[in-house]
Amino acid sequence: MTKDKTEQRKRLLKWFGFAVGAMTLIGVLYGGPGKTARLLAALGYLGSLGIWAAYTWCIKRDIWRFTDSMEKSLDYMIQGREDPEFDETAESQLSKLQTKLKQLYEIQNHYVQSSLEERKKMQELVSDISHQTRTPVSNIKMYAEMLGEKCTDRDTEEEFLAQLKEQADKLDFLIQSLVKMSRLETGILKIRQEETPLYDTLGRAIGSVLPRADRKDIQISVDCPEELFIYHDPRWTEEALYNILDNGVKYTEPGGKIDVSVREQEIYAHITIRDTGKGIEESRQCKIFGRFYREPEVRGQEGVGIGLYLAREIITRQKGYIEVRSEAGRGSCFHIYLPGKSQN
Amino acid sequence: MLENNNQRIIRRMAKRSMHGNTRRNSILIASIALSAFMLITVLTVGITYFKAQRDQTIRMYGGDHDAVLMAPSGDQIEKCRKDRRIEEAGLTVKCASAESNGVDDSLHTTFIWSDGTYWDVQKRPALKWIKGEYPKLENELMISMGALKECGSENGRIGDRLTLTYGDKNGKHKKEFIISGIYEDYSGETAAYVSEKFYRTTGHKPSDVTAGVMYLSFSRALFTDKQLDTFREELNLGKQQRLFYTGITEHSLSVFLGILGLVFVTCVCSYLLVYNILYLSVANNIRYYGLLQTVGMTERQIRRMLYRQMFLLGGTGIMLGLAVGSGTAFIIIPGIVKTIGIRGGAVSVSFHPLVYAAAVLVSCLTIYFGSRKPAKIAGRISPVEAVRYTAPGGSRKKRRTGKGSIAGRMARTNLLKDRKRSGIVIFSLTLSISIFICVITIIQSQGARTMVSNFMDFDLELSNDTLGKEDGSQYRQIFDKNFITDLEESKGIREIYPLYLDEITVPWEPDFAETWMREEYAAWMDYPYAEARDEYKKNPDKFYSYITGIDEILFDRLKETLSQPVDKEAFLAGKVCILYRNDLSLTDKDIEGKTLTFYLKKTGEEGSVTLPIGGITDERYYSPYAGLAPVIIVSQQFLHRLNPEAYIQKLGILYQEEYDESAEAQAMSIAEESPYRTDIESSSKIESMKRIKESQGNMMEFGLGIVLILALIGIMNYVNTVCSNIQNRLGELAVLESIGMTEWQMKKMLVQEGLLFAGSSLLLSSTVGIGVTYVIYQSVNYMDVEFYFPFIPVLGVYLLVILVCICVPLILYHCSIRGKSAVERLRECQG
Amino acid sequence: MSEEVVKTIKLKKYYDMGTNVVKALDGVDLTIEKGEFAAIVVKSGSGKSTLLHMLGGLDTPTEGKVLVGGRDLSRMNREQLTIFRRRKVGFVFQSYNLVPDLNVYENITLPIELDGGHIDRGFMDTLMGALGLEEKREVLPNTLSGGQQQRVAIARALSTKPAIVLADEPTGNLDSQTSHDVLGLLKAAARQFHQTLVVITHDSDIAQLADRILRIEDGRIADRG
Repeated sequence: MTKDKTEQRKRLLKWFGFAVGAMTLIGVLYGGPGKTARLLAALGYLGSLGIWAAYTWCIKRDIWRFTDSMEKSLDYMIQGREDPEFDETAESQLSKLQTKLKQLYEIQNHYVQSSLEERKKMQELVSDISHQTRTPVSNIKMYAEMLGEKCTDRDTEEEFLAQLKEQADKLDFLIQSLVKMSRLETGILKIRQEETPLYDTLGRAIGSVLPRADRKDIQISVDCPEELFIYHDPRWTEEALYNILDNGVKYTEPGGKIDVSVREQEIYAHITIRDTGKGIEESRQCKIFGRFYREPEVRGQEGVGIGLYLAREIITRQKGYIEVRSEAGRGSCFHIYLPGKSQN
Repeated sequence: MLENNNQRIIRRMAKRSMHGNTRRNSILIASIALSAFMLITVLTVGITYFKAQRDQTIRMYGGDHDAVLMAPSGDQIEKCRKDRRIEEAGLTVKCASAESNGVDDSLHTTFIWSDGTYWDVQKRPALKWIKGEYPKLENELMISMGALKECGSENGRIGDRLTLTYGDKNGKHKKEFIISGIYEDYSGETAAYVSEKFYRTTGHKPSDVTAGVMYLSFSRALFTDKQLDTFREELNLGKQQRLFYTGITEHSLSVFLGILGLVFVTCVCSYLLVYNILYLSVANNIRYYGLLQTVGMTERQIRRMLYRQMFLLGGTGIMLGLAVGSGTAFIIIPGIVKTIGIRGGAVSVSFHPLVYAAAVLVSCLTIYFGSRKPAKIAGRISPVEAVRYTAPGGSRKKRRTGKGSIAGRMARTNLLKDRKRSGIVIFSLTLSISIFICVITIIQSQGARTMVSNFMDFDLELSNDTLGKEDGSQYRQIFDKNFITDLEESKGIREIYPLYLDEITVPWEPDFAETWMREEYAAWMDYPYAEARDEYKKNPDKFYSYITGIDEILFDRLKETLSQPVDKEAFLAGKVCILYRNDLSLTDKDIEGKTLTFYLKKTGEEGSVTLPIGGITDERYYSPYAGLAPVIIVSQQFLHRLNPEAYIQKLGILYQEEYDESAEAQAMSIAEESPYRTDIESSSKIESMKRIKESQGNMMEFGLGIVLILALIGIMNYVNTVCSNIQNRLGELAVLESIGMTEWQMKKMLVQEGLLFAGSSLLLSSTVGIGVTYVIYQSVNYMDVEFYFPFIPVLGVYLLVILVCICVPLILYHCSIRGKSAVERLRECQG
Repeated sequence: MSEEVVKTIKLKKYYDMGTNVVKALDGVDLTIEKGEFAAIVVKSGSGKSTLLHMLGGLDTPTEGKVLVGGRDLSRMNREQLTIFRRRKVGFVFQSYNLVPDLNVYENITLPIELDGGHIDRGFMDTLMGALGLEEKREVLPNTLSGGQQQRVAIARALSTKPAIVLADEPTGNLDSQTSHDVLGLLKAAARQFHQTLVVITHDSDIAQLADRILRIEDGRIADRG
């Protein structure tokens, strides 16, 4: 209502302004000593003065109103409530700013919410890991004690030493995971991209996973152009690829196969990693990249559920993306898209 | 609310989207420029005309005023001074007239007293120059150069003394005056303005007949006849009072109306074009505007963007029009103004800033109103509609299968598809054609008038100007025997018809002379006949008149102008006379059986003759001068019998061959050799022909210019419509071609479409257009010229329109196809 | 943490085709949560874009309601809807719908400029960089390939950092490789700016990328994925 009124008043002012302008113009053009001309000129002068005053007043009032409304909105936000007079769909400065303000407020809220949630998860994880470390530590202690008793024969000793090494490896893996996670959390994961052949990076990742694959008798085939230079961070990308490959090896039955292929597309380099494992159920496909997600069936096995999360984080930070296609029982296929060229 | 400052993008987008629309924009700019040009020309013509007319009036009447009231009463003076319609009311009183300066006792100088209003406001513009002050003392004079010359002191200066004998109401006086000021005006009047003190001594009052004159300047420039009549009635004029309108004539009103009409038609034409072009461009860009809405452009922003575009285009167009208009105005306008009736002297083109303001304002308004609707439509387009927009489906859902060939049927359907657009184009074409018919008709009819400009159709007329002088002693027989023989002997001249003239007196008698004089006074004089009757009875010589003698051939011509037959034998034998009507309301009945008695001035009363009146004519040729008493026409032989030495007033000369320039040169050289050459006035058919041709040429140019501009606008409108029509239907045409329509059939369809446009507009313009033309013609026809319909030019224009309507679509079709195959075009349109 | 950004209540849209009424949408109830990537797979042809148009306030429903951010769209007038779209919704059309007179950069910043807003140059550079458009900045759309045009359209949809991005067959005219690229970009960007992304498609392959898949058959929600 009031808005309409002010609009109306403004329009009136505008037309009045036109009329005065026209009158002044005619007066000036008409010139001469005519009575009408003088009258018109005088009227025009007075009119323009009046208009100027009215216009100034209008603008001042508008500014006051603007700051008032802004202040009120901010007060509401400070109290964590929403301004009931918020209007996001008006063609005015106020509405524009309010919209932006609301957006900012919501994004902030979103961050607060998600960090709260993460903290909760982190606590769970810490208890989880501490629970997991308990076993190898007590095992190490146990074997160490048993070795100390010196009442064992050579064979047993060797077995104990092997056990000791395995338990230490487990512990090392858990600690490594914790370190990686803390790095992620504190933002230490720094991506240093350079133009290097993707072939080398891929080679190193496969090299690290090969022993385990051999152990499970899993064949890995690679199809990658050697000359494909991609702008990426070789160290972290290797980590990401390793995590995915490792994942594949983990969930593939002995005697299975893993195919890796790389193709160059218009924007991205497309890396496909296909395994013949047990696959992922469709409903879980979008969850596997979540932090600390573990397939229910593998709860018992070692791992913390950050491998794929890390992989996605690394790929995303390089402005690429990752997706998975899978059907339960038929293996799964990971698609990694890495931007081909420098983007800055 | 503080407004959102999002104007910049609108400005940029408006500018940007103009780059892609060169055709549309150039047509728009051209048409706006043309209409601005036309507006400014028409308005400047108007202003120049009125100004020139005012100058003419000022020079003619010796003052700047619109009406003159003779002998105003006190009440009337009061009323006029208070009247709101009257801006200025000046009063003068002719209070005395100088009679003698001691040397010359035939002075014409009048002593006039004027009030401040008249002298300072109304008289001032008519003065060439002025020195000194308006008189304050009783013996001071502000004297005109003419009067100064007459009084014998041509080199008189301010401060000089002048002794004059003058007569006023109280009798004759001799007085020594001091010259307080000298002036010269354009009319060359012989007058001396006197102080109020002097005027008081003369005994004259403003209400005295022939003394008081009130000059009125109206506050408005134009009045209708009715308003003028009302004003006249309100003044409640006495019988001896007269009110003349000097500045205002119906002629100027009709010119004013004509200009208004042209302005209006121009506006309508350019309105139609702007509207149509924008409408088309909006209709063709529905997707575009809808798209902008989906991205977040509000209706208001879209409207603003379109207005902005029109502002840029309109600004360019108007500026262009104004520049061209002011450039050409100096060349064209004087000619045009002369054509509409301002004669003599160079016409200075007056540029009034208001003309520019008005032209700009009117063009802006036209553009604004032209773009309002399309802008609204563009803003109203629903975004969804736009996203999946393909083509206007039309509101009809069914369609009956028509008759006739498929090409013709499709042409008809296409015309009817968007009735509004077709209507606008037809209207605009019709307007152009109708204006053409109107202008050409007026021009042609004026041409017909010139063919009978000279009643007698003489090649040359020579007249004796001395006979027009007041003083009978200065009459000379210029065209004496030698002169005539010289003429007769010169080569190339076939025949000479002299018109004889002599002064007569018609003594009072109770019957016809009385009737005549009563009528004469009622029609022409400022005071009633009753006052003059005694004087007439006593001194009929003062009420002199003329007798003209004509030969057989002239009589034959004269006979045609009479409503009753007159016996030729009787006329030639001098047994009957014919009168010149002098615009009196006398009819044949009034003269039936009446006789007229008169005598020549030369022979006196003894030579009285009484003749029966045979007829009464309106032809001025037989009455070169007007008398108070009737002018009598008799046969040449009869006049010779009365006075063998009657003057030859006029010689009508026919050449062996019409328009023979060498014959004219000879005749003119004979006239030049005469000792009285300055008193010979010539009026030559060749000369007037040339003059008429010249003015006609101007008229033709002006008219054709108007027609051309309007026609151009109309045709541009048509071209644009056809152009976007074909562009729109390229897909459709490609489809048609791909399913087997040959190029020939396609062209046939397009031509039929064009013919439908042409046919409808021609039909409209030849019915409504010609009707309107007739009405306009009759209302502007102040010269009573017969309506003449110019068949050949109109036929030519019809053919031209048909040709344009056929050729334009064909050319455009060829241009837009440019050798591409149907498939290619199909892909282009769908992609 | 689940906040409803888009909610429809018994949404119906009927088209009167003269002889018969086509029920493009016949009572659709759906909710899309904040930050979610939802794919809507529509099998029948006619109602494909209708839903998206309705969600973005381009079209009005025959019956039912659309709530976006808690506001009922049917309560807004045309101008309000337009401004709402300008600020809160980014559209990616199947047919790109770029403004032919404006160059790539101007096309992208158009919604911001229409709001008289401040152009965040840094963000624009990031956006154009992410979409591989920085070399095409001054180029007019008609010289671009389909994939490039689509990327410009995506950049335009994202330029105002809208809360919701609605994409109608964003890959409809692209080959399968480019479609993946484009969708990946869209997804990456949406994730980066915490936007809700709704994609309409008939290609269930593409829908796989989404957090959630909604299937609409015969104008109704068929099942939830």
